[in-house]
Amino acid sequence: MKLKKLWSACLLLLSIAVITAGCGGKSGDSEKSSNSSGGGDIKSAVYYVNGTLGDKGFFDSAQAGFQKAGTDLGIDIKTVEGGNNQADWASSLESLVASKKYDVVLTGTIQMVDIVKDLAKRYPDQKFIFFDEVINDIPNVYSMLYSQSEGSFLAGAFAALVTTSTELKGANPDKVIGFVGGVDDPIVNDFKSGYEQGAQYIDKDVKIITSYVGDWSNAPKAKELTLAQYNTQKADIVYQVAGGAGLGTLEAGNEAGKYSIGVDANQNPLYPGSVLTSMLKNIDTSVFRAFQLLQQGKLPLGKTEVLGLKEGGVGIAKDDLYAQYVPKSIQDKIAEIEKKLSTGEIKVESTL
Amino acid sequence: MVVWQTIWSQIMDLTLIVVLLRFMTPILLTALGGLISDIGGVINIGLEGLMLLSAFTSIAVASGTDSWLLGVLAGVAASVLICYGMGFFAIRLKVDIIIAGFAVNIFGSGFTIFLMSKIYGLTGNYNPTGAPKIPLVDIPFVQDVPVLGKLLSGHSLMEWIAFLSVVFCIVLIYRTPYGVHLRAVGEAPQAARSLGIPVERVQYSALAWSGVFAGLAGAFLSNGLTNMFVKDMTAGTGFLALAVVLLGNRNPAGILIGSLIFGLASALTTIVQTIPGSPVPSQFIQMIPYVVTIAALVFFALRKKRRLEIAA
Repeated sequence: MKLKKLWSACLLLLSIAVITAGCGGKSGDSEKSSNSSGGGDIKSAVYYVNGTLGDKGFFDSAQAGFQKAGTDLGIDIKTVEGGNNQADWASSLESLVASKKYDVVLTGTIQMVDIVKDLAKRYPDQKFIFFDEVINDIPNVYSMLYSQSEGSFLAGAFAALVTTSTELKGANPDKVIGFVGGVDDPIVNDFKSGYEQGAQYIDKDVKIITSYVGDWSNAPKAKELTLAQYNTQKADIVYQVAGGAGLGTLEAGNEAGKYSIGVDANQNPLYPGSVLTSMLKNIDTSVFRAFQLLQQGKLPLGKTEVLGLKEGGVGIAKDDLYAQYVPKSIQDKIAEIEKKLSTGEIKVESTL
Repeated sequence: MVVWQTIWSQIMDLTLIVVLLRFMTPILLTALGGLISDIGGVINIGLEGLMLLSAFTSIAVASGTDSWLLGVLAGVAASVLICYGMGFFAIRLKVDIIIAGFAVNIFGSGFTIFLMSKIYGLTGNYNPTGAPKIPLVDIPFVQDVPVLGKLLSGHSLMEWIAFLSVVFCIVLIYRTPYGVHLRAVGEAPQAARSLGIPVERVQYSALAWSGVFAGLAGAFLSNGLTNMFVKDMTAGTGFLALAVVLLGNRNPAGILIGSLIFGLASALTTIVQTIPGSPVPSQFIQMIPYVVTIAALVFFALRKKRRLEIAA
């Protein structure tokens, strides 16, 4: 008896779902025809965060560029945070797309690739701007990639210069530098590869220690790994690519009186004098640039662009703290390497 | 070869022990909390959420009042408060305790992020500069003795509290009338009720104890191990603690051993992970603590079975 009731309740729910879904489809179709006449001018845009803002890294950076696009280009903007449940992302993004309220959808990162590919094919009138991963050959998607290997090359060269430096108090004679990654995945390893190439470019004898936290939030573990790199392996500078967990790395550097390199956003002010520089993925400028190009009708939709040092897609943070704490000789050398990277005299190999 | 050399040298200079103690403390404290709630028959699977709430509260209060002690107390208070709320739903309103625990986990993760954005306008992490930390205990004279110094001195106060908590729990559970009531309520609530033991009150208090210990562990994460709050920074510690409760055969001494095993595995992982050019893929190294836990569980289960067979 009970079971029967349960079944009928399920059936009822299912039929309601089917009916409402059907309705949604119909109304969507009718709006589609009216929307396609809109053409090039962009009135509203939505940024779908697959996670939450506040990584002080690339989600926040994209948000900054998105807000700038909103105010400077006069676009109605809305940001939706998808939360950490991956299973929700596809359906919540689809509901945003299907609502037809937004001319452009901005989203990014490797986890969203398949979701966006699927949606872009089924909603060919919806424009997508995608950051941090490649999506090719879909006419309504523009994607941009950041040459993290080029930026990390600079970080690696910087680290090698620090560990061989005699001017910095925290640098020891051992030529050892560290790398702390979030998880062992292709993107993080592209950072690592660039870092190694940069270090080798300065000095062939520099040893690089690599550790992975295993996730992006376990700050205590990242701190412990970093302390082990400093204390037992005699590293004097560690480069973190570990999201929120990486803050543990930076704190370890400060406590041990050693140095660290931040990532994605400018993390130098977190521990002045210990975080010597940060490798920046300038997602904000690239997002703004994409919206600007789109409004001018010049955005190459359907293509992927790789933004390197020359295009301002990556770089290292040179703020007042950098000027204050980094020895002049290292600053000069870094400027020289930047020039060589821009002109293509140094080629960085990407593992992707 | 390099791997063994490095591990050996770290055992010799006791770095391994120091790291091990840091790793095991949050697990040990949380597991003790889980133990008391388990014994009382109200198993608290919301430990993860409680730790997060306490971690956030304690760093926020500590940096606001400039006192680590107030921070820790506030963290524990927040955690206990949520436990009473959990008790209200589970004991008074008869919500399934597992569901209430899940709710606390989700609440802990979401509410800390919410508070962070409401109070500080931050999202993701809160990283106050110069917040006070739970102090390290340097023991005079002993700290100058070569081996003993490193073994006993210079640990965080919370690591000592964790060890004392084990003793406290042994006394509480096995040497006090309250402990007898607690065990009776967990084993057979109806029988306990018939003897006039206030079952509900004992269950509320069991949950509150789990809140106290999870609160201490959470405060240690944000205010001792690190000096920051990162969203979801517990990264599964609360669930590991529940595994340790079972691994420890549901008694405090067993839990101490279980936490030691887990702490040791984590410390070894750290060493292996920081060896340059290690040939082992990182994913395998990260598996070590969990593999060790499963292996230990199997080992203890087999031993118990054999003992039962001999007894029969």
